[in-house]
Amino acid sequence: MSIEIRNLSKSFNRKGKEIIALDDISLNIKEGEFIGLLGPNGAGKTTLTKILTTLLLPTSGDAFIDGVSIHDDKKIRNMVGSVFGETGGRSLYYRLSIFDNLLFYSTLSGIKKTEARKRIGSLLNFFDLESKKDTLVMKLSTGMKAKVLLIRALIPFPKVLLLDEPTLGFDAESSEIARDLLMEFNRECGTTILLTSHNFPEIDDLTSRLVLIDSGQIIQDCPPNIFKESAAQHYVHLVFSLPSFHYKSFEDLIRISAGAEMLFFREKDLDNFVFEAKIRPTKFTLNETISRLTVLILRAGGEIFQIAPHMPSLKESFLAFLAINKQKDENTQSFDEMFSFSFQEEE
Amino acid sequence: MKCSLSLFRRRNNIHLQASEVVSSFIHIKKESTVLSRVNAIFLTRVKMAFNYKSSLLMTLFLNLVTIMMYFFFSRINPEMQVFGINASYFEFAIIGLCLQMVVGTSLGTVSANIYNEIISGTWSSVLLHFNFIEYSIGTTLAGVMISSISIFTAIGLAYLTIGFYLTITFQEVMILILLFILIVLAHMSISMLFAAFTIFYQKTSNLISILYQLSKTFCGVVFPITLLSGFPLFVSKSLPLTYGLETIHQLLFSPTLNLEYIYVNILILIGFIVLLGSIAYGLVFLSLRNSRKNGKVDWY
Repeated sequence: MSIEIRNLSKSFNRKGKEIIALDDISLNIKEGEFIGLLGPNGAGKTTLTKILTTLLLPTSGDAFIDGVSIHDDKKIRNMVGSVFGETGGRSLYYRLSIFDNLLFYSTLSGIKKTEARKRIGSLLNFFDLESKKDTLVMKLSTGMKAKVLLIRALIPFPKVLLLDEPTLGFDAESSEIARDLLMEFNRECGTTILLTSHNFPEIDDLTSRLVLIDSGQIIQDCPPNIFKESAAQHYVHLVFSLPSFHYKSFEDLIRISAGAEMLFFREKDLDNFVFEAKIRPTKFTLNETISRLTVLILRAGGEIFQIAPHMPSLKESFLAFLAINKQKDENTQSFDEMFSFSFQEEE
Repeated sequence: MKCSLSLFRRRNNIHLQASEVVSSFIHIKKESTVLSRVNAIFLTRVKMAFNYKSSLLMTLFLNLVTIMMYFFFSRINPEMQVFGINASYFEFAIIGLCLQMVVGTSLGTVSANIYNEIISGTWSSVLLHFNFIEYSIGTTLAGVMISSISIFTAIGLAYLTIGFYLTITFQEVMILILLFILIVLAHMSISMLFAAFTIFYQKTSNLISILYQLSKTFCGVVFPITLLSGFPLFVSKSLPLTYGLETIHQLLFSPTLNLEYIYVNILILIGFIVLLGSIAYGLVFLSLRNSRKNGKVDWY
């Protein structure tokens, strides 16, 4: 099922002050897409998820799931499964067992008891919780509660899954099998998934498209690999020795011959003329720059101890992107301030 | 890593594979009935109540003490008649006493349950599949059942230790059951009305306690309403318990069955249910809309 978001805005009034959580967001998600929603705290991710699950009403704009407006909450709720970012599984009944909790919610969502039992059984088995099915939720660990929340969202077999930090508190193995399962739902059943997470490897592994949201606005919308390339720098990490080394001429040499620039440089072992550098390609590809640097150093009679490409992770790219964005904002702000200051002086 | 993990799971043959889980899901439709959803809400509340064993036992104990106290007083002077009632005072009071416990439960259940959902954090998940009528009936049934169990256990224990007899015809039993259901539904409607405010303000109201106290005092639980006049009589006539209790008293204590009087009171009770229920439904709809608009669905 496709999701279409049209000029969606949401603002809250807190003590007479207007807080804009979403600012004219438009987004199209095709059927069967696996989208990662990233953003810093307070960016508006949860607000967007809550609007799509009909728990919040937008101030303006509309969103459609399979052509049905989110204002038709009954229909939407039948199509959507959700996990809200919560620690400690507080949306579960603490005084009920895992099985009773799951059976209650699945019956409410419209599944027959016999079928619900079957689905609960297989999902509990998959997440290794079968032996704990009669344990009260209050006695479970944080990770186990998170598993129950994810199982609860999957039982109705929704066409659209809105997952806000679904694997919060999962151990490594559970996290891995949860990824497998989500992937399987997406690939085999065409389930459209919108995943919000601060677990960058998870987003990187699973999603085919990344939507970055900050201060209520979408600031980037592209596949993860393109985002990584655009946001953070690739560089060559080099540890080498050169008997007669002169920094300025070395810098010029790598600029002219290897088409690269120095990002970082330090003397690692001065007695043995060992240096460490981070070099960014500006003219050639990463591999070509590595070959050119190798030739350059060997020709100069040097020795290479380590030469490796550094590919930025999604986390690095995300942080770099946010930093660049912040800097841009500050620059615009300071320009505005400068302009208004001179204007005031003239007055 | 991925490969070795799935191999481990396959070799050990303990767990299903992701594909097996997903394939078992594909051809199943959603088709649970209203009854099964009400039943699910009812069972959940009952199970939760039984998980709070100490509080359940305490309620049972308090009911037992109160009812046994009345039994004990009745033994002192079994034929004592007051207020000109055509029965012993014990017979008069025990009915209202048992009923007011059930009324208390049905008055508070819906609103209190929603408040608990809001403060515990389960509200937003319940809201995703929320049907107000189903929710109200399920929770009230559970509350009434639990309080009825404790009342009947208390009466049973009192009967075994002190002794008590009651003669009643089949027709009277049927009318009594109908009246009991109508009294519960009427008070459930009031609770639904308060639930609307609970959803909107995310707070409980002490007005329910006041209403409960008014019902206990002015609806004929401890003295007949024929003794009332002026404002107290107006209060009495504004509360549904009056009509239910008066009909039961008429049914049990009058030598002749005044069916016309019974039907009129039954119609008044139905009127209460329809009127209060529809107002509550409308108000809850508005409250939910407002809480979704203002981002105040739950505390989190």
